[in-house]
Amino acid sequence: MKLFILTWIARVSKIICCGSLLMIAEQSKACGPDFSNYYLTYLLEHYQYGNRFYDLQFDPEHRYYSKGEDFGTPTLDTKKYNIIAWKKILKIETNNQDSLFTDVLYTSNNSETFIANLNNCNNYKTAIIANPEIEKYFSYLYTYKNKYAPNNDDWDYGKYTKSINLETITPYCNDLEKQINETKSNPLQLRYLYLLLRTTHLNLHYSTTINLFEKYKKLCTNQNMLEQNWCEGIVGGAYIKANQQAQGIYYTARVFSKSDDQYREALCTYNQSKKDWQGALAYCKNTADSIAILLLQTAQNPIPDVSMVENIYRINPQHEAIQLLWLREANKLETYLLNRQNNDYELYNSNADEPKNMTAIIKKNNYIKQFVALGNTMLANPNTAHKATIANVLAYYAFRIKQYAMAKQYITIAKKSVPTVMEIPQTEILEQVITLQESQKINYVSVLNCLKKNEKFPKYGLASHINHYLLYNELAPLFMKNKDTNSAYWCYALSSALDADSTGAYIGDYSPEAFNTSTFDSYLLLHQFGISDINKLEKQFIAKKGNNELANYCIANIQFKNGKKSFAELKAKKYMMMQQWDEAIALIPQLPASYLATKTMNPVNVYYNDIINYTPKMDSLRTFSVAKILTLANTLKQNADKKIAKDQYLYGVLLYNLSYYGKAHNVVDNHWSHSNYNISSYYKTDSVNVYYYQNEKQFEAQKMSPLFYNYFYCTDAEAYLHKALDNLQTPEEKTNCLWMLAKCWQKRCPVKITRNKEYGYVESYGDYVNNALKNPYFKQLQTQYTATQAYQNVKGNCDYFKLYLAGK
Amino acid sequence: MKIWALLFIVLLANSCEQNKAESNSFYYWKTTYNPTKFENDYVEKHNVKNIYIRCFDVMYETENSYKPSNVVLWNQKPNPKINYIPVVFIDKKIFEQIDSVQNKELSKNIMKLCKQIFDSQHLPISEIQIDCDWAGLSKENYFYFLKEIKKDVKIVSATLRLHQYKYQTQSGIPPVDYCSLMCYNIGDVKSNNNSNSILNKIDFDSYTKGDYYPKPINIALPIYTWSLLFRNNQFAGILPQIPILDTGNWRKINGLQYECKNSFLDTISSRYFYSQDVIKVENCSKEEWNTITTYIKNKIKNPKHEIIYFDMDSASIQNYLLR
Repeated sequence: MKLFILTWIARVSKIICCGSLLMIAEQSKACGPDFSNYYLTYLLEHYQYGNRFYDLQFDPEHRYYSKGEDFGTPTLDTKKYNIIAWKKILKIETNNQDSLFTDVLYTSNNSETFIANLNNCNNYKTAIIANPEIEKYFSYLYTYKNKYAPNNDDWDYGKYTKSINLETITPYCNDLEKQINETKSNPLQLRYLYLLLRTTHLNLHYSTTINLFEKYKKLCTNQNMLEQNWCEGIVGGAYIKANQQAQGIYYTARVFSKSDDQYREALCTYNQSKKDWQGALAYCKNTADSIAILLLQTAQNPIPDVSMVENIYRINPQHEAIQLLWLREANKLETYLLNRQNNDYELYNSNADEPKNMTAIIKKNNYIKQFVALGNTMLANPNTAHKATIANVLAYYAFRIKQYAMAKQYITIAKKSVPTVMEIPQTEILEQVITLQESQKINYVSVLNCLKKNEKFPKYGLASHINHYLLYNELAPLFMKNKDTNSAYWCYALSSALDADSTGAYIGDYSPEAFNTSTFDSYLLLHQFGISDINKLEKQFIAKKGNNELANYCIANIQFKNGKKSFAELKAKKYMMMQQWDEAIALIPQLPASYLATKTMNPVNVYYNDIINYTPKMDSLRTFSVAKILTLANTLKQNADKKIAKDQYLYGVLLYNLSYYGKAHNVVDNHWSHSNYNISSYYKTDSVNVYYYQNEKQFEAQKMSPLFYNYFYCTDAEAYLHKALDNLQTPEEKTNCLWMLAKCWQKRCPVKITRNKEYGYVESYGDYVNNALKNPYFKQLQTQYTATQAYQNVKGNCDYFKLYLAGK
Repeated sequence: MKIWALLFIVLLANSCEQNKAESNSFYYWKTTYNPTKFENDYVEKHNVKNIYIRCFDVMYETENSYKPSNVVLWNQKPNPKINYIPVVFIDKKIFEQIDSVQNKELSKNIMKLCKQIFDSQHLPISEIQIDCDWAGLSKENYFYFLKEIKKDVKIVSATLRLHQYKYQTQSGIPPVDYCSLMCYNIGDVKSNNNSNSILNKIDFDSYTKGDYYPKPINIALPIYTWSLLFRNNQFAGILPQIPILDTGNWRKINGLQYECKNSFLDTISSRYFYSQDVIKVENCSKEEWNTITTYIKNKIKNPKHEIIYFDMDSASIQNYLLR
C-alpha cells in the first residue's frame, strides 16, 4: 500500500449539485489546522484554541493573516481582561457581578448614569464611591467618550474627515496631565495616560502622542500590566503613523509578547508597518524584547527559514517561542516538500501576487540539512526546553522519508524527555504509525487496535486525525479491493465524522467546494448502493453489527443526525429520483421531521426563468411539503400513464421542477450549487480518494449514474411533455408546454469543453450559445404561438430565445 | 446559413459602431484628491468627460466583518465641468462569506458612504462603479449585491477583468448597465523576458478571441509604468520607486531590461541591489502604445465608446498621452 497518495489535481471546475447526501455523521467542532485526506499530514498539529500561539500555527491555507482571524474562531473577549484589571484596582474578589458591571461600564453615556446604573452591582458601586480618585477617573473617561472620542462609525465619512483639532483637546489633555501628577495609584495614572494618548492619537496628532508618552513613560515600570500594555500599544501605533517605524515596532513587539488582550491588535499594527524589525532591535533593553521582535517578524513568515529559530535558541534555549517556530518550520517542510509528489508548491507572494516555488527554495538553500542539524544541536543541549517536540518533529521527518530506524531513535529521545500534555499523544501516536507502517501489517485488526488505544486521547485532536487517516486512506480502500463494500462504507462514514477540521463548517453541510474532503461514503450511497444494499446497511446500523469487528466499532461510534430515519430519507429520495412514488409514499411515516418540514415552490407551475435563490421573498413562495409533492406526483404519473394530456403535461413540468434546474429541487437533493457544470464527472471530482486513484480507469469508464440522468438532463420530463403537446387544449398551455420542452432540450445542448492551465476544464461560451440557438422547439414557438401571453413571457425572460429571434 | 447572416449583421453593426466618437475619462486612484496643475490643465484642454474616483476599498477582516479603508479625502474642490463617478473596490472574499441580509447592509453602507463623500463636495451621484475580482465562490453574492445597489442608484457599472471577459460561462455576466474592461496587467509579471506584462498584443489576444460580451463595454487602458526586480532569474517583486538606470551601476540588456554590474546601495530608492540583479522597466513607446490600444479598441465588440485611462498621474500622462 502506498503511503503517500497520488497528487490531487485541483480542478477549478468545482461543480456540482450532489444528490441526497443526508447520511451526515455528526461531529463536534474541533480545533487545529485543517486536515487533508490525501496525506498523513499535520501529525504535529499542536496548540488548541485558547492558547495564544494557536493563532500563529502554520497553515498553508492562511499564510497572510493570523489564524485567529479565520472564520469560526471566536472573537477575543478583551472586555474580560479590563474587568479583571478593575477588580484588582477596586479590590473586588467575587465574580458574581462582573457581567453586570461590564454592561454598565461599556454602555453608560456619562459618569452620572454610570454611578446610577451600578445599583445592581453594589460591590462595584461601594468600592468606586469609597474612592474619590477612582470616581473622578470615570468622570474623565466619560468626558472623553462624549466630547473627544472621534467618530467611530467606519461607514460615516466624518470618521475620516473630522478629527478634533489640537487646540480643542488641549484643555482636556492638560487636565489629564494634572490628574496623572496628582493621582497616587500607578494603574490609575496609566489609565489617565492612556486617555491622554487615546485623545491625541485617535484625533491624528501623532507627534503629540509620542511626546506625551515619552514625558510620562517613567510610569511604565516594566510590569506586565494591562494599563501599561495599552499605553505601549497605542504609542507603537503613533510611532508607525509618524513613520518612526523602528520605535513603533519595538513597542508593538512588547505588547505582542506580553499582552493577553492586545496581541492580535499588535499583530495587525505590525502588518501595517514597514516591518523594520532589524531597526527595532536597536531599541531593545533586554533579551525578552529582542525575542519579542524576532517572534513578531517570524511568526507569520511563510518562507522556510530556520535562522530565526536558531537566533532565539541562541538567546534563550528555554523560550516557549522555539516550540512554536520549530513546529511551524516542520509544517512548512511537510507542506512544501514532503506532501508534494510530482508538482512543486507555489506560494503566492502577497505583494506581487506571483508565486514563489517553495519546493525549490527548500532544496536550493540546503534547508533540510540546516533544519536537522539545528534539531540535533538543540537536543544535545541539556538546557533546551520542549525536547519532546523537537525530537517528535525529527522522528516525523525521518518517518516521512522512510528512515524508520532513525525515527525510532528520535522517539526514544522524546520519551526520555519530560513531555508536556500536548507532547504525549504526539509521541505515542507517532510511534504507533511508525510501527504500523514499518511492519506493513495494515489490516482491520491492527487499525482497530490503534483506534482503541487512541480512545484515551482527547477527541477531535491529533488522535482523531490519525484515526481518520487510517480509516479513510488505508483501510477503506482495502475493504473496497476485497469487495466488502459495506465495511468500506462504515470506514468512510466514521472517518468523515472524525475528520477534525478547524471549523467543522463544511463537514456539516457538504458544500461542493469542500467535496474533496471526505465524501466517498456519500458516493457509495448515491452511486453504488441500491435499495437492497441500503436495507442491509440499515439492518447493520440498527443491530450495531457489521461484517467484522472494525465495522462493529465504526457503527458503534457513528451518530447519524437523524438516526435510523436517515436511511428512510435516503431511500425515499432514491425512489423519487426513480419515479417510484408509491414506494416513496410508503416511507413517509419513517421520514425525519426535518425532511418532512422541507418546503418547495409549486412543482407544477411553469417558471419562465430558472433563477434559484433563497431570499426571504422566494422563501415565502415555498409552500409545498414533501408529502404533498409525493401524493401529487403519484396521482399525476398514474393519470399521465393513462394518456391524459393535461396530466402528462403537468407531470413533465413536475419532473423538470424536481431536477437540478427546478424550483422544487430541494426535495430530492440535499445540497445544491449554482456553479454546476461538467456534471457528468461528478464522482470524479468530488469523491477523490485513494480508492479512486488506484482504480482511475474503472471510474473513467463509468457513465453517470442513471439515478442522476433525469435530474441533470431532464429526458423523462421532455418525453412526457412531448406526449402531451398535441393533445393540450389551449394555446397558452401549448405555448408553455413548448417552452418547457425547449428548456429540457437545452439541458443536453452540446458544449465544447476544453482544458486550459488557468481554469482546468472550461466550456466554450460562444459554442454553447450557438448550439442553444438550434433548439428545435424555438421555431414552433416563434411561428405558431406569438399571440399568447405565455409567448410574451418567454420572450421577456429567455436571452437565448431573444438571440434566436434577432437572428431571424 | 442564418448564423452566418447573423454574424455578418453583428460584425457590420460593430464596424459602424467603431466609428463613433470616443470620450476620454480617467480613473483617479489616489487616496487624496489633489490633482496637480498639469493634471487639471490636461483635463480642461482635452475634454475629459468623466473622472472615476476611487472613493474607498471595502476590505475583508474576519467572518462577517469588513470595513472601508483608504477612504478618499478631498484636498481640492472638484472641477465643475467634469462628471465624477464614484468607484468602490470590494475584496471578493467578502462575497464568499456574507448572507443576503449582510449583502443588503453592505450595499446600503457603501451607498451611504459614497453619498457622504460626494455630498461633502456638493456632487450628485447618478452612477456608481464597483470594482471586484469576483470568481466562482463569490459570484452569486456579488451579483446579488449589484442588484441591491442598483435599487439606490440609476446606473451601476462594474469592472471586468480579462479572465472574466474570456470565461463568461464560469464568471457569469454581472447584472449591471455596462462594464469597464481592464486591459492591463495582461501578461506574466514574473516572466523575465522581453515582453511587457502591462500591455501586449499577444497576451491580450489570448484572452479575446472575438467573443461577444452581452453588456456595453468601455475600455480601461493603462498609462502607468512599473519596474520589476528579478534576482537569480526569479521574480522578486515590484519596485515602489524606479532607480536611476543610466548610471555606471547598470548595463542595458535590451529595450526593457537592465542588469546590475556590481552590488551597491541605491540611495534614490533606498534599496541594496546585488550584482546580476535585473530590473525590467515596463513601459512602451507612444507608437507601440497607440498600436496596441487601437488594436484593443477595434477588437472589443459592443463598445460603449469611452476610454478610461488608469490612472491620473502627471508623469503617466506625459509619458503616454502627450509624448
